[in-house]
Amino acid sequence: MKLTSRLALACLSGAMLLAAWAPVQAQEARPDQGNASKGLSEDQRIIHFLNRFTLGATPRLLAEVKAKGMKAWLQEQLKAAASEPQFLRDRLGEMGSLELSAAQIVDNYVEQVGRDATPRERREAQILENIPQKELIDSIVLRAIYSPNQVREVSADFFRNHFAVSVEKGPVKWLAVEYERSVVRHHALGSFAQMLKASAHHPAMLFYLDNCLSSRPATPEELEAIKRRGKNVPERIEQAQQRGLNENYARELLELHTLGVDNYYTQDDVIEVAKCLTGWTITPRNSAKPLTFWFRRDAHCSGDKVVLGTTIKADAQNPVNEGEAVLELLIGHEGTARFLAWKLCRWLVNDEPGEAMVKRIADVFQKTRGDLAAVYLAIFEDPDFFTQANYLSKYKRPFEFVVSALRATGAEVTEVDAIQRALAGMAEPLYRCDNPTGFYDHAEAWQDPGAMALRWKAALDFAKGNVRGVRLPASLYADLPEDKPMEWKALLAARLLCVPLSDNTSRAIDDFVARAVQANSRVKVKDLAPEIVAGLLGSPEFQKQ
Amino acid sequence: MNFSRRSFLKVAGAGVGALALPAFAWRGLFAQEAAAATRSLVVIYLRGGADALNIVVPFADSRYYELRPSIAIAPEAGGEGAPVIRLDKQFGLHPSLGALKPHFDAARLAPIVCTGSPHTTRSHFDAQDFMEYGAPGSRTVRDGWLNRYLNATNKAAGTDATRLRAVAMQSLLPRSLRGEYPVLAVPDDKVLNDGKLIDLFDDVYKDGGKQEGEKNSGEKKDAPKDMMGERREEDSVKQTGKDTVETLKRYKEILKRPMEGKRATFGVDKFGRAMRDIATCIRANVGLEVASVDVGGWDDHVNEGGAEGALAQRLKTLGDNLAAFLEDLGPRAESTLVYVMTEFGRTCKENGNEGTDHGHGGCAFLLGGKVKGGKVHGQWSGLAEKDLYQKRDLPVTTDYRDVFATVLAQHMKFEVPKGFFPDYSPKAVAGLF
Repeated sequence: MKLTSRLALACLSGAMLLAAWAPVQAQEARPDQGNASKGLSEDQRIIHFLNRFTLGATPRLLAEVKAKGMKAWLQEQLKAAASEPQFLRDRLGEMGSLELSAAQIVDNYVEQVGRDATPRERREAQILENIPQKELIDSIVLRAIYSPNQVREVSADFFRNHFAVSVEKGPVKWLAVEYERSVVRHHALGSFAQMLKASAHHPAMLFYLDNCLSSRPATPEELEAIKRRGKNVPERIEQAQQRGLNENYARELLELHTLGVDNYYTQDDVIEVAKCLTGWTITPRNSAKPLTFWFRRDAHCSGDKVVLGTTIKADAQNPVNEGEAVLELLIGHEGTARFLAWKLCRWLVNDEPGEAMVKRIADVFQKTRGDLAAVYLAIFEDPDFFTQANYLSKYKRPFEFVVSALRATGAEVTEVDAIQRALAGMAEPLYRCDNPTGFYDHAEAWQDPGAMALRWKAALDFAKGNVRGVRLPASLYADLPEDKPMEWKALLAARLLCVPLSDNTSRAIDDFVARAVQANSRVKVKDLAPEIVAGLLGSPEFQKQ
Repeated sequence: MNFSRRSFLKVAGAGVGALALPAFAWRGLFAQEAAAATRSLVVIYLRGGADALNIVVPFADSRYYELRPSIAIAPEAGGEGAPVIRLDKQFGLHPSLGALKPHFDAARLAPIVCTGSPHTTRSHFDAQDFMEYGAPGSRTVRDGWLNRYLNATNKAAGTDATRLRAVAMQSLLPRSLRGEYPVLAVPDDKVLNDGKLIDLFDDVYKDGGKQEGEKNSGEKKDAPKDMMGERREEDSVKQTGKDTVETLKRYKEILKRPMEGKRATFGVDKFGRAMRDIATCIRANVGLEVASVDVGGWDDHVNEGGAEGALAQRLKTLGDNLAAFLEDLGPRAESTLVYVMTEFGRTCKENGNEGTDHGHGGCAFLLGGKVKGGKVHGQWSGLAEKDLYQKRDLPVTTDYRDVFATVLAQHMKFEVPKGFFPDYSPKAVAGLF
């Protein structure tokens, strides 16, 4: 990283943090107001709102939203119009692959290494080849932490999981940069309908779920013709016979992307959808428009198909339209609206969202064909959004935990690799989900004895500067009275947490500090305060949102 | 939301300590002995739907070769690639599983064909969930079958704090071990070896102890729980933290104990290390009853390979490490049963990409313990189209719940009570033990 941007980063986060605390502390004394919504105070309402619509509420953001009003703030966010800070733009600008097409990425980063290449040449080719996926992860993490357009980041987080692909599978590592940009981020506050279509046509998805390989089986006539021609008969017959339907994408399209598992569809529908989508593949590298969507007419299954009871007439003129018709059918289907509404409510409201709310959101979803800005606004305005039962009811996923910890501490992140490794340790590495479900987003999936130790370890490592490329700013510890260690906890808690510390955590950290003081009566801020920060980030209070 | 863990909290109060019943004097006396006699069940889950037909190969059936022109395993040497390892006149093991053949010959390995779930789903995620919850089709059961076993036998297991009844060798628990009984998901070495960590968070997550109750009383405790989202959730998070501290301390202590006797050679891969650590726990006599390991990557839609290739490599890792595991256990292999399972088998016919798609009936292995090995178990009806499930997949002739129940009854000496599997009374699988 360049010195200038690092400086900018340091200055900015320092300024951010210092500016933030004073007003918040002043507010704490104010009585709660606006008790209208089922027992949540005004502060709690804003905290709840920020917990769901950002990747980490901070005292600074709390003050900002308080000043502007939640709805006005959300409406601005839904336009994602806030300009990203200069240091973030600089960092993203340094990443050469982010704006490239898949084909350009392959041209620029993938070198054919000859058989006689030296180990060094191989290594260099390997390093070069890994740059795009590294920049992909870097950009996601940096935007999640520093982008002021937090609602877009939350939505991208959701749809990155909803339409999950993994860079572990073959060339997806070169296709995923464009996928994240043109499918996930581009539509994150736009239209679900468009996003679904974009994902269905994108080489990353076509490859990840094998649709690029799916084709009609060879007909007996074709096999006969090969024999008649008499050239390389055994090989050609074998090639022809090996072609066939691959159900993988068709099934996940119904199960994961639109209707939800075993809702409305049967195995026959899976096969029929797969038939409609035969021929949806990827242009080869040496073609005129390489690594883009390609409809291979000769791989397409002819004949009418019946999907969900609807006949998709064979379109002899333009058979690609059969697949498009399937997508249209799914986009308009009430099952898709219900499934997406339920999943978004689980993401943004409660692990077990109420049926009435899901129904209301599904209606908006269906009416607007998945206009995501409208859906998010409807969730915010729903009578069941601001309730005591939803407040702090969700357990942070590893990604949410890590990003919110880095946001809360104002961390200066110069390298992301170690953060991705920490996420991998917690079983949630970005763009490396083992299966196309995406990562789970309910507490039960993450709340295991043992798993929590990984969070504590991350918190301790962040705080103590043991994570390469992550530094907590000195300003975090500014003004801690060197000679009064028992006061540090309260000051740090006010800087990091939006919710009050529980008596239990408070006392536990006091005990811990007291022991440290007993061992060394002249214990220094720089030695003990990071451990207090780790204790706060690892506390039950910080695991919830 | 985690209903089971919450309802547990209501009953048990707080923490692992409260989970245990009042400590009777005899427990201390007999704990060591009881632990030494512990029967252990090691569940290995092949995630992705392992291709049963290429693992236990029906080499005598010519249909097998018709259905799989490019990925079949040859019936005998001289064909393409290494041939099957013959088990009987009908079935053979994939050639990568050579390390397990001696165990079949010694009657310690029992393959089961056409076993799996009666549920029709071909979704990995549903099929796995349904199987691990022991509740096909249910969307409400949220505790795993192994956790239900641990919970039901918890009373008998006693309160010996040095016991470690169950572990999962991965940073998140599999569904089968989720539920009321706190099972340790073993984090990586970096976490285990950080001395400061447990010290700090032992404090943060412990009960207030003597100091608790000064200020905390009154304000929230009496409030109805369904109104107090905050408090309820705080408890489940705190509970997880306390369980974490408790079980990690115990696990760390076990791994540090000196180990007598020599060790077998395990693979240096993740699976090999997991099997080695499980063997360590069993040999350390800590009362380990259930251990679980996930092995991913079995979803062979493309380029599955035959005698060599992707599936072959995975099977090699699996077979070699299982053989090492039994060797390492020595006499303890008598009281240890390994159960290898997967969510479903795959299509009998290969697809257009030299792979296979999601199927129905699968296979399982039981290895060790007192299993009656040396024989292929399960009912086989052949590969004729009319005998296949939906004309394409192996049928399920042995419900996995029957195997679960038989394993629990015969190996773990636990007769499943009525309702253990919702709406299902399991039948003992004849001849398995």
